[in-house]
Amino acid sequence: MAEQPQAGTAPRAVLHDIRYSRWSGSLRPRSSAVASFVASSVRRPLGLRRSAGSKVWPFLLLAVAYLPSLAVVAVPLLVPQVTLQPTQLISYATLLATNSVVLLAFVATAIPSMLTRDRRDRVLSLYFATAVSWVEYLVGTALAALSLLAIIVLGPLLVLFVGSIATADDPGRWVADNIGDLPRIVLAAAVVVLFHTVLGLLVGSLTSRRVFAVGGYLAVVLVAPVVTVLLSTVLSDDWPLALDPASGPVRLAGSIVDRAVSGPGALAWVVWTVVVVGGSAVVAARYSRGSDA
Amino acid sequence: MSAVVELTGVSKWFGDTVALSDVSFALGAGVTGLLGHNGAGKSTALSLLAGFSRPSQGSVRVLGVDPHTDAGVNRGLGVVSDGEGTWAHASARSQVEFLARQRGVRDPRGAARQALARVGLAEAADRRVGGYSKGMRQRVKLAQALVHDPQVLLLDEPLNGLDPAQRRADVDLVAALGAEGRTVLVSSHVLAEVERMADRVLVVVNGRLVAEGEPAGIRDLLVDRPRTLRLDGTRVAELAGLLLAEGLVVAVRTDPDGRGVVVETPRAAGLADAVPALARRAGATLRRVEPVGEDLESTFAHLVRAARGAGR
Amino acid sequence: MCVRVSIETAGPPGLECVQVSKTFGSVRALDRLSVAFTAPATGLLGANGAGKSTLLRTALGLSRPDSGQLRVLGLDAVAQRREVRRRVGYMPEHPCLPADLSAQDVCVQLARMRGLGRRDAVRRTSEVLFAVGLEEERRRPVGSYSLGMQQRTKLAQALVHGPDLVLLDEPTSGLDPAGREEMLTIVRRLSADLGIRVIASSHVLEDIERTCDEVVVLRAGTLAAQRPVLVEQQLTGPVDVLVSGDVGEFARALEPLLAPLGVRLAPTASGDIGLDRSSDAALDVVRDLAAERGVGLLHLVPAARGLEDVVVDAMGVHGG
Repeated sequence: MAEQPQAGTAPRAVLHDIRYSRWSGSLRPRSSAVASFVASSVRRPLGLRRSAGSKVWPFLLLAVAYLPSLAVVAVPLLVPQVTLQPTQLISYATLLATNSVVLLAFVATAIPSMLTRDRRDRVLSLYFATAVSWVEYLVGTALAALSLLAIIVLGPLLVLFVGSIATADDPGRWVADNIGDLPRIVLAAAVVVLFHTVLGLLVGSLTSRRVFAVGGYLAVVLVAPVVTVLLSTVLSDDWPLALDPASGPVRLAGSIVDRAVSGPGALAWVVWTVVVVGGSAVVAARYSRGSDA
Repeated sequence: MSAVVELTGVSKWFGDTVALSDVSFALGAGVTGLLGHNGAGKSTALSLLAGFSRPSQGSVRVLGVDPHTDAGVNRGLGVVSDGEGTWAHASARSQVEFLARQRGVRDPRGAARQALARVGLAEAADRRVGGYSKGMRQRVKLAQALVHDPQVLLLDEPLNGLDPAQRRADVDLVAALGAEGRTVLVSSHVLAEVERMADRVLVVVNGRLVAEGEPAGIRDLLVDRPRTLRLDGTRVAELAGLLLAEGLVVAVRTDPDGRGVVVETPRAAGLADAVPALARRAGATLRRVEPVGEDLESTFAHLVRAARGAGR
Repeated sequence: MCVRVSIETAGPPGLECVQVSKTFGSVRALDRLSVAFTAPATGLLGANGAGKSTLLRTALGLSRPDSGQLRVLGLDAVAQRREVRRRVGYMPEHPCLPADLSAQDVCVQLARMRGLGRRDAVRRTSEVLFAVGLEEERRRPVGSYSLGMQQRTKLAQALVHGPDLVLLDEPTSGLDPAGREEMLTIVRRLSADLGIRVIASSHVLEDIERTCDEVVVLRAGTLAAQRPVLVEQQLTGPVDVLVSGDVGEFARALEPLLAPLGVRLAPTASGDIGLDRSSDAALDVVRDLAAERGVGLLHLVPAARGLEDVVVDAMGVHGG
């Protein structure tokens, strides 16, 4: 029979059990779980929370992507003799075009590996059995890819826009005049980002070897321009140029954001839609029949 | 007469990592088990014996020659190593025949057929190995090692991936190979199976040889090993009390699963002699008298603890 | 013929199959399988190709059955997939961890993907990694781990979200004797102390014997046997006895004393004296004879038919 402590005296010692035990806490909604997956999928290609070495290449590409717009904003700010607006020094369409090489490089290094890495690690059976459904997995990966590419594409454009506000003589009036540009910038960026996200994920879903996926993507974006240029010279016509995945979306985007630039035409839109919709369908089909691991 | 397989003063290091340190042993006909933790040096020892690498110090002799320099040793040496050793696209039969031809077997087809039958792959021999289960692939490796009727066999985890029926069959096969006069060295982590296959064992800890010989003999040499005995039946608690009073046991524990009592003694023989009379005195019916921890697994664990000395 | 003797626990079965079939091309992996896993810890056995992996994959939702009903913890494995996912843990046999992340990262990430909040995930990860024995190494990349540490990490991620059922595929694969010992102890604790249902698939019978209460043996996609690991010792079954000194002489003296009780003696393969039946009276005769003659009793064990025999028979003949 346990002794009762005297009233008013505290127990002399207490033991706390820290052994692993069952857990029955409450769960967050699925959106929160998928959001954490998106966050970690965005961090990994950028090398965040990992070794310094893994940050070199992605941050180098980021630097190259932001350099033109930062430079163009800095010049009028720092050099009072220059009275031109940043957007007169370089237009959004031109910026998109100059950054297209960096974009392709970034997609190649970051996007297909988001899918091939999980296949190679054989972690999909764990995910689908105990963590997320294939829909949540693909949606999460796609959101992460879109975010990453938005940083590379939309970011510099926004720097240009915001920088122009800063360098304008009358910021308030400049904003009122040019606010209509903002939705066009976002739409243009979306056109490019969606296209390359789907293309990158498509090649990533078709193989589990990163080398092949990246190679496939590079083959498409490097070979197609050559082929389409050849075709258009042979046929003495412009329309094959619309089929080029490397420049097509960028030119589409350029035509949206800058009405003075002529677009590549309806054919380019068709190509864009086919790739985005068809590619998504293929990726979904690859993953819907369960884990491959 | 020199032994069939002999290591003399062998040390092997990779840069600053010592894999084996001053190891010497000699093997003759029969099956010998090679025991040790992961990273203790077992795979290194097998690799040296197979001739895949050279010792940093000391000498290795298999069938009288240095296996690393003398390629002829392969005629008398069969090896099953860890990892893949089979090609996915060829059938088992063709792979085993190929190896038979390479080793200069006179009748490659017949030898292959026999080897495949011996490992239990006779029916499936003509299917692509790529379609095999892990256990069957393991058996193809074994057939490849047997096809040229070698005098010496080096088997690294040969039961890996095999289901219980296959394991039992292959344990018997390895024991039979030793009984035929071959010199077999087999390495495995499932010590209960090693006990059934091998008459002798070599125990490697941290790159050094800490014990060799028959498992029972090694066990008996371990001096500060507590001997434990399980007693079950009626009135065993009273019996345990008597044993304690007579000073025959130093500790008594009741079994939490309700299966009697477990007693600990420094003198197992004296205890066995005293149990019947004391049981009669206590009126205890003995339904179970069973030494605990006499198996190879307990011996091995104790060896490693003893070898470590002060560590954890 | 199928032997069914099972151990029950409260609540729905951990896994229940009703006429489940699954075909891959021309191979019938599961053939109208009906079985209920009700014991706290069940071992799943069978030859390669008998349907074990297909059963596990179907239960985990990685494959859909062609027909039949599959219930995990009372939930439909297909229709209530999301709920099942929350309550089940899985330790695959194959390497499944990203090499560049640490054990801590892996567990936290998986915990969050399963719905734990950030603080809960971090705290649970810390507890579970300590429980499986990963200390400072938990912050190093998994790629630098030994096999034993990788296995522990796999087990930790299976437990981090507090599942009600864990499916372990070859948990001791590649582990050395010390590692096996630790893993088996942890697994036993899961069902014995923590009340987590365990289904373990393994080829090493000894592992199953030490951790499970019941075994289920599959053959050709159907249930071949289901029985407890430990059969209740019958008080009248055969018994093996070994004495010190001259065993033969003792046996000769014993024989006439046991004949009136209907017990016959025969030598066993390992040199023991085998009693074909026994009773308390017979055992007392053995004891008293040994006491009178001053002979030591080295061992006396019921010679029940081993689990291995039952399982191997149930598995049928498979290439040897």
